[in-house]
Amino acid sequence: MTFTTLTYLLFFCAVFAGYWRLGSRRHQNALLVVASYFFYGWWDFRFCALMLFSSLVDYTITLAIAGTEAPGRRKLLMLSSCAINFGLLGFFKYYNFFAASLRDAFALAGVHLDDHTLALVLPAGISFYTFQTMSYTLDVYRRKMSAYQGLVDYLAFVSFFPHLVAGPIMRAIDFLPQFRAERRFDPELAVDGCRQVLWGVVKKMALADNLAKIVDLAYRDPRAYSGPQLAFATFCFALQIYCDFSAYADIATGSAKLLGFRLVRNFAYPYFSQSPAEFWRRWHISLSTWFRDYVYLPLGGSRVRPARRAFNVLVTFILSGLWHGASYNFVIWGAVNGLAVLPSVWGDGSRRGTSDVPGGDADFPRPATLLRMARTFAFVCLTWVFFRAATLEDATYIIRKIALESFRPSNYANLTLGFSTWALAAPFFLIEWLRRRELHPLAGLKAPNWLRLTLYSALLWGALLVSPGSSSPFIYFQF
Amino acid sequence: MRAFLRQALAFVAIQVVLLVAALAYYRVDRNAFVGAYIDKHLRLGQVAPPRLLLVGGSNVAFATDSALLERELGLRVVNLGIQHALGLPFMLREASRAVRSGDTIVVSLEYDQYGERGEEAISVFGLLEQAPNAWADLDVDWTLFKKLADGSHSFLRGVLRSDLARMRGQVSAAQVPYTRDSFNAYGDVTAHWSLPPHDFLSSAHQEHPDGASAIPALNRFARYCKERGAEVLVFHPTTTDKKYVAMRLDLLSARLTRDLNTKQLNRIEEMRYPKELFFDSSYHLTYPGVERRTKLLAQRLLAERSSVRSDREP
Repeated sequence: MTFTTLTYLLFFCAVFAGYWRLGSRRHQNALLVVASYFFYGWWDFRFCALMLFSSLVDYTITLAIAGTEAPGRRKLLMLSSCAINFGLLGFFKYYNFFAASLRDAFALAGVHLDDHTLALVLPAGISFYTFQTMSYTLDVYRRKMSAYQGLVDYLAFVSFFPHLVAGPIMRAIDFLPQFRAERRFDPELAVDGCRQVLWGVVKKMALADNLAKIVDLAYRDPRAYSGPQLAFATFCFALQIYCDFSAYADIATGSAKLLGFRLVRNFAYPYFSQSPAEFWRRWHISLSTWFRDYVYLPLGGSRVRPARRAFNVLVTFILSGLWHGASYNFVIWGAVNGLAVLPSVWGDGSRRGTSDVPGGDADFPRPATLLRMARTFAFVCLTWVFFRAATLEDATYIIRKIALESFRPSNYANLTLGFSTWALAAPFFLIEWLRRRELHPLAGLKAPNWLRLTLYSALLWGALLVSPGSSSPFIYFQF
Repeated sequence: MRAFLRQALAFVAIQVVLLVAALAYYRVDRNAFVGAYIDKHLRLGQVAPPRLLLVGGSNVAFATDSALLERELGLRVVNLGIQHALGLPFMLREASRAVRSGDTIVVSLEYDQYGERGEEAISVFGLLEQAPNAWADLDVDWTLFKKLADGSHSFLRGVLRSDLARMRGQVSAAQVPYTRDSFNAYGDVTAHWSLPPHDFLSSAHQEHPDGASAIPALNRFARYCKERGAEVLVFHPTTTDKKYVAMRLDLLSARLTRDLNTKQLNRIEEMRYPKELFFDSSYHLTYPGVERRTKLLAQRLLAERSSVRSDREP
């Protein structure tokens, strides 16, 4: 069930109505579990069994960790949880990659192995809920939180449908207590949730789905396009992935707000960042902080010698790349980003003089700020080539082609670069810039009731009207 | 809660009013491409068996000269091909309901139909809007139900676009040759025969169709037809060299040879046509391409007939 369908709208309305009619949080959590498994099973009911298994393993192991003081036993239990979770994740996500790599490696040596790749279907959201349950086990092991006895609360925490398939990845320490607390309907939170959902729907349907058509065309057969066209397609992909993924986060967060929950922020206007390091503080925040807390800091973080610090950063970024999928493209994408972040890690680490507002406090950015934002955006676009290209060969071809052909003015003759795309993207950037102090552009909108209702209706119908015939699934579903 | 519900209901009421207005203004486009379903079924009812039924997606519609086939074979032809986005289950069910004793059915499936089921909500809704009785040809199971439910907003989008086109004074949003009147009496699209070809891209990265569910479905269909005194044959559509490589059609060909219980009149390898024969996709051909493909089909059908005859002779 995708967020931008009428099915989800009906499903959510039914859950919302039932949820707030139930008096106690226990019943509400039970309803959330049923609704979430239905939501997840809509893709493939077999996925539900896997999620239930993963949840029960961590629930049981965490109780066992809490029930013993013996350090060795605690560690063994924690490691067994890691082994099971990463084993499942690794099997579904990486088996084919390693089997094919092994086969290719042997083929180079002249030994031909049989094809042992399997037709595995990657269960939607497995990377997200695995990381969420892992954070719970690790936090209990590190005694940052106590183990929970309530199975239903725990199942609701893992399967909570708004963020189940593509995050934000919530930490147990922040999120589980919300399932244990009584919930009261907060009209302001609910109104804000509705607005955030609407903004997400607009981004996905009007922008991401339209941009996907341009990007898919170019990236499916890069050799058929010129350098400027590939550069344009890459720019479109940068916009597409942001509009797509942040739309998911907006709809997830908005839906959660309507049910009385608060999810962490996943995007904070990342394309207004002035350096790669800032970009990573604003992009997919819940994953970046997960890797910071569970990989980077345990490796020693920044409190080590510069060479070791660089190693820690690179390992963290490469693992973050691998989290996205098993391919050399993701490894390179992670490594390039890690290298780009190194200067800020080797600096004093402070952010003195910088504002929390992306692009600075001024309404109009200064030329130097604008230049830094443009430079960072260009770099991010370049790295997206590795993220989007189907193979490493394609990625290097695209970069070479862009580098060789994009700076020759003659290559722009007779080139049409999707006017309609610019017509949609330019106002979008402007709105995001003007509203960048808010959590999302529709937050805290002050206007008469009739004007707001008209604006919301126009946004909804406008998005439907300009959306392409068939919508593409959210990009992060594949991870 | 009450204040929130009041506001939410006001918003919903506005949307309902807009929706009702959009639907009230909406007129079904009688020249829509999938409307050809009605004409094809009219012909199906008029032509008595033994007939040659051509089953498949747009590759059958855009790459067949049925008049030429009739002349070569002396058999009445009904071309049922419309659009691959109606899905393989629809095509096979439609043909199953139409088949009569003595019929010959030639199935030409677009290669991606050997991978995914292929139904797209927008096409299915389009068909039902033109011909509600086509519902009987849909194989409605949980998968299709989910596809239709999840794609229902695409119908609404179509209504909005059509309303806007109507406001601008356009009679139909469809364009030749993707219109109902682009088909001839046999059910072939012929309007593009006189049009210049378009450039199109054949993707270098495409899913490999393994035929895992399509081949058993075809085998079941062939068995069903055989029980009713009809014969099923498979004739593969054209492809580009690039697509052949990208989709690993060599592997599909091997699998078909191994697992398909139905006779194949041609091999996928021989359907790699030169670029100048394509109209706007690897399945849609210019007239020289249509002629070449049709003649090959006629030739193979004649050969098949004579081999069956010689098998029967003592």
